Parts: sequence; structure tokens; C-alpha cells
Amino acid sequence: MLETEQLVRTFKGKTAVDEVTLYLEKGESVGLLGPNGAGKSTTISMISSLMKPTSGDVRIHGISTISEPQKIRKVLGVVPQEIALYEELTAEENVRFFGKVYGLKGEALKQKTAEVLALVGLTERKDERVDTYSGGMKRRVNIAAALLHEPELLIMDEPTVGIDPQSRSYILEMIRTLNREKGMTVLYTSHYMEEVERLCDRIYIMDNGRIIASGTKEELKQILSDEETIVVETAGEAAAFFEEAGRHEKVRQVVLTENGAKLMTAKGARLLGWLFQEAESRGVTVTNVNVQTPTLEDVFLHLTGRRLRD
Amino acid sequence: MWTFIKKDMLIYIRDRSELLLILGMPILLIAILGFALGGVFGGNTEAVDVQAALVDLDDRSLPDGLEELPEAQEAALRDAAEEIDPAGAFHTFLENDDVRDVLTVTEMDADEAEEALQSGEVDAVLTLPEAFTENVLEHLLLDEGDGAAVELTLREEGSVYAGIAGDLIHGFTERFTLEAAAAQEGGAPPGEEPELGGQVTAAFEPVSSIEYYAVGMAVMFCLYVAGTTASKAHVEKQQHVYSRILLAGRPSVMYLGGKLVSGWILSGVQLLLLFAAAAVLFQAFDAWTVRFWLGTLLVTAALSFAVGALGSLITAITIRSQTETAATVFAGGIVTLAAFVGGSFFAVDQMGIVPLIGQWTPNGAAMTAYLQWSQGFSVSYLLPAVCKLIGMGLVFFTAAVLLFPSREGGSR
Repeated sequence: MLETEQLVRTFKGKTAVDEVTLYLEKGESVGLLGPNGAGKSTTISMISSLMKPTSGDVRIHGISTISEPQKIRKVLGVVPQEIALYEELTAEENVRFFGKVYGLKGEALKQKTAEVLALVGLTERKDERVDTYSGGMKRRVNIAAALLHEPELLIMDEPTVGIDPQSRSYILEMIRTLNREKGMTVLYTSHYMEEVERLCDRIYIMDNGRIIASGTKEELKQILSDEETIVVETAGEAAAFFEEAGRHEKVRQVVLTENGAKLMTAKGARLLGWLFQEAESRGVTVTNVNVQTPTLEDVFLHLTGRRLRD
Repeated sequence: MWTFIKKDMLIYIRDRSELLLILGMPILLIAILGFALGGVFGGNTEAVDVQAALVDLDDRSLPDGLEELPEAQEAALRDAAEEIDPAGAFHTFLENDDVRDVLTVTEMDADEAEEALQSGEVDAVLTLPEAFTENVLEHLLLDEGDGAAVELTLREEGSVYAGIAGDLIHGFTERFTLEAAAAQEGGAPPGEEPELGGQVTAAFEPVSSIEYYAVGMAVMFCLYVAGTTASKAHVEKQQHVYSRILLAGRPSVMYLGGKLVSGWILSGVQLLLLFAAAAVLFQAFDAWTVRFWLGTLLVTAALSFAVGALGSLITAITIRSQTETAATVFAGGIVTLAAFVGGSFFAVDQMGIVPLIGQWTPNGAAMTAYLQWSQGFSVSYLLPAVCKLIGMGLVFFTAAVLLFPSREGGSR
């Protein structure tokens, strides 16, 4: 349904997106995972025809969005990262406005407005101005405005940034329903690994403007199939302790966290005994130890040496 | 396009601080400036004082043809000629108190007058040409020749002063013809004032300071609608609402057209509300006459069209440049500058080329038209300003369409 071909976008000599090639099949839910500044939003802007790439092409149903943007725009529903709404208008006025802009009118407009407002759970508060809403409610109207014209492809750019866990859960469930029950194709960008893991069939991992890995969750985790992660939490100063751990032959990587560090080790390294001894000898109090199988976060860490939310 | 217009208007109406700026602030300023500077205008006396030079080239000779008439008829006509005395009548007319309130006349020779006009010392030169008396009387008494006219030379065509001077001459000519006819027939026509110049000031009404500032502030503050239109478009762009509109595939001209029409309606309503408020709160204008509102409506429609189009132009620049600079500079500096050269703060007719520039601003052109209309000038005085405003609007909107980017972040 969608394919991009060697997409490149430079700004004043700096490459924001570097030869990004990806595809989506009809009905798929695909995640674009990467930290802030990875180039996800720029990629989305080019895919949705709002930004012209420096080179490369985007095709939806075989039609180039670069040369014929008008032909594919109604196929797309785009949920931007920003709250792209008129704050002075009510939720219903906003949704109706975008419906009319998309050419809906009369009974169809009325019906679709009621339908999307019900879908995002705002029927009861549709007559209140958006600037009186909570962040989560605004996000829901933001999504509703993109659904009114029943797009085939829904492109969502970090749609859950800055909202409470309940609203996030509501939105994720809604997207899941749109994808699984209504067959809507979804391209979902996020720097929240757990959202992408929960929603997406396939994932592209992006960093510094490039796609650095892609595949299903299982395929990506396979990258770290011979590794495990030991999460160590300590009390007090422990920098020298983790520095020493990093020098251990079986430790491949150490990433400091708020309460301690994550150690990437070879699978079955049996390192716990050594860790406790070393902590004891250095007077470091270990408060918690957890051995985990790799997550997407670990895959990203492995590939880039950084955490997603750094 | 109605979708865009309705949306823009709803957003504007719900923005209380903006409403306060475009409606509350001008009313406050009308009151402050109108009452504080009332002394400058002399309460209900004229807002303007036209400086004029009088060049009298007439030798007061009587028509030669009188000598060829029978003696009795010649004597009668000589009496009539003495009574009519066109050159004397014009001097008397200029000394009339009502005329002197708005027209300060200094007698000069032709060269001095030319120099004074060039230097801006005077706004107009009134010339009684050579053989003025002879030609006028020949036409009136002997029904020969084409008569003669007081010549009027203006420093600046189309200004309020030019209009006043023109109307004075016109009023004089009308009255003089009437008086001459009366004198010839031995008495004034029934119901007419026999004294020359007694009615001429009816050709225009004086403008009070409140009226002057009601117009001045209204035309100034309506420009803010254009700036605010662009600022709100910048917010649309920043919040990616504009991207959504683009994604719907609507032609850019529809988006700009929405800005034009909403700005047109909003500034039009704003202007009419301000004039109504000035009429109700400060008893300004002949507000209870249909004539006042018809002319005001005509100028308002043209001015608000220009303002709406200006709003769409600043919007196009704002969207293209992806910064709010254009809107900020416009609201922060250009409006004030335009208000100054347009005469919103005080009459600038004596300030060299300033009034000339002012007439090419929407507010300046409209201000002249509003003031002329409220003074009782004929509709022919309004039409040039109305045409100018419509022309400005068309130029602004065409430029807006040409400058508007077709793709976000890209060029056309």
C-alpha cells in the first residue's frame, strides 16, 4: 500500500532523514520507533506529502505523493504530534470543521461527527471548548479529526505524548480497534517502546535519520538472542563499582540508570556471584537485581549505545 | 469557503482580548482624544483651516456693449452692474465669518501665490482672472459670451482641503448666479437669503473633534484586524492545523479567500459598531439620517474589503516565511505609521508629502472619504476613494495568492 524509496531530507546541509526505505501492506500496523530527533516526524511529513524530500520518492497505491500529492491526500489520515485543533472551538465544532474541509456535508457529516466523537469517548463533552480539556482529551479530539473521512492509512506521530496513563491506554486500545476491527492500515511513530510493542505487527527502528533495524518484534529481539540483561539497583555512590563491571570480560555494555545500571551480558554468563562479591568488597549496597530477556529498548541500546529516551 | 469564514469569525469573536483591542480601545481613545483635543478643534468648529492665496487680476471694467444701448437701458444696466459687482461680491463672500472659519485668505500677486503654493504655505490659490467683471456682466446682462469663473488651483487634488475649497467656489458660484438674477429682476427670489455667501457654508458641515477622532481611530483600529488575521494564521501553522487543511486537498485560494472575507466582514462590522458607538455615546455625526449611513456603508464596504485583502496578504507572507514577523511588524509599527500619515492622530494636510502618502493608505483614503461625507460632500467625492480602496484590495489579494506556498515548508 505504501512504500518509500531512499527518502532523503536535508536542512541547511544537515541530513535529517537519510535514505529511508520502508513499506506497509494494507491492514498492517507498523511502528516507527526512535528517540526524539531521530527523524521520525520529518519522515512522516514527507510520507504525508506535507514536505518535499530532497531526494527519493513515496508511493501510495503506486501513486507518487511527491508529484501527485492531491491524488492521495484523501487516502491519508494524519494525527500530528501537536494538538492540531482550534482551542477556541468546541470538540464538535473542530470535528465538523475538518469534516467539511474534507468535503463531508449534510447527514453524512452529522453522522460521522457523532460516530468519531463516540469512538474517542467525548460525546458527553462535545460542546465544551477544547481549551478547557485535559491533555488526554485534546489528544483524543486530535485523533477524531483525522478519522472523519475514513482514511485507508492512518499516520500517527507520537499521539500519546504528555498524557496520563488512563488516556494513553484508551487511545492505544482505540488504535488497536481501528486496525484489527476496521482494517485500517496504521503507521505509528513513538519513542515509547512499550506502545510500539503492544500495537505493531512490524517495527522500523530509526536513529540519526536512518533505519537501523526492522522486522517483527520477535525478529528484532532475535538480534539479542545470545544476550541477557541484568538490571542492578544500588543505594548510594556506585560509579566505580559499575566501571569495574564494565571491564568484566562477560559484560558487553553498561548503561547507567537512575538507581543503578543495566548490564548487557552473554546469555548464561552466571555473573551474579561476581557482582555481589564486588559490591561487598567496595561497600556498595545492592537493593535489587533482575535478570531480563531483551526488550526492544535493549535492542535499541545494543544498536545505538543509547537509550530511547535519552 | 463559508466553512473557513465561519471558523475564522468564531475564533475571532471568542477571543475577548482581541475584541477589547478592536472595539474597546478605539472607543476609549475617541473619548480621550476627542475631549482632550476639543479645544484644538474649537468644540464644534471646523477641523480644518484651508490656507488660500487670492490673486485679483480683475480691472472691474464694465462691458463695452453697454455704451451701444439706448440711454435709459444703459443707465438701468449700469445700476444693475454696480449692484451685482461680481469681484466685490467674491471679496465680500471671502470675508464672511462662516467662510473665514475654514478659509484663511491672503491677497498676493500671481508669482507670490505660485511660490506659496509650491512651498506648501497655501493649499489653494483663488484667482479672479483678467476681465472677470466684464465677462460675467456681459454674460449676465447682455447674454453674450461664456461668462467667467473664479479659478481654483490646488496643491493637492483629492484632499479634504481641496474638497472644501472646491465646494466654497461652487457654493459661491451658485449663490452668485442666484443673486445676480435677483438683482437683475429687482429683488431676491422668494425664500432666498439676499446676502451673498450667507448660505454657502451649507455646502459642508464642520467636523467636531469627536467626529474626527471617531473616524481616525476607527480606520486605524480596523487595520489591526488584518494583523490579527495573520497572527491567527501563524498559530494555525504552528499548531499544524494548517497542515490538516492542506492534507484535505483544499485549494490555497480557498483558505486565503476565507481570510479575505472573514477580515472583510469583521472589519466592516467593527467600523459600523464604532461609528454607531460614537453616535450614541458622543452624539457624533448626523447619525439619524439615512444619507449618513448609506455613504458610510459604501466607504466601509470598500475599506473593509481592502483590510480583508491586506489580512490575506500578511497571512501569505507569514505562512511563506514560517515566522510571525510580518504580522508583528505590521501590528507593531506599520499600523501606527499608516495611522499617522493617514491623519488618524491629527490633520497632516500641512505636512509636505505626508498627506499624499496618506491618501495611498487604506485608512488615509477612507478617512478623507468619511470626513467629506460627514461634512455633506456629494457622493462624487467618495467614489475616487472607494475605487482606490477596491483597487488596493485587489492588488493585495492578487499578491497574496502569488506569494502563498502550495506545500507546507516548500515553495509553489
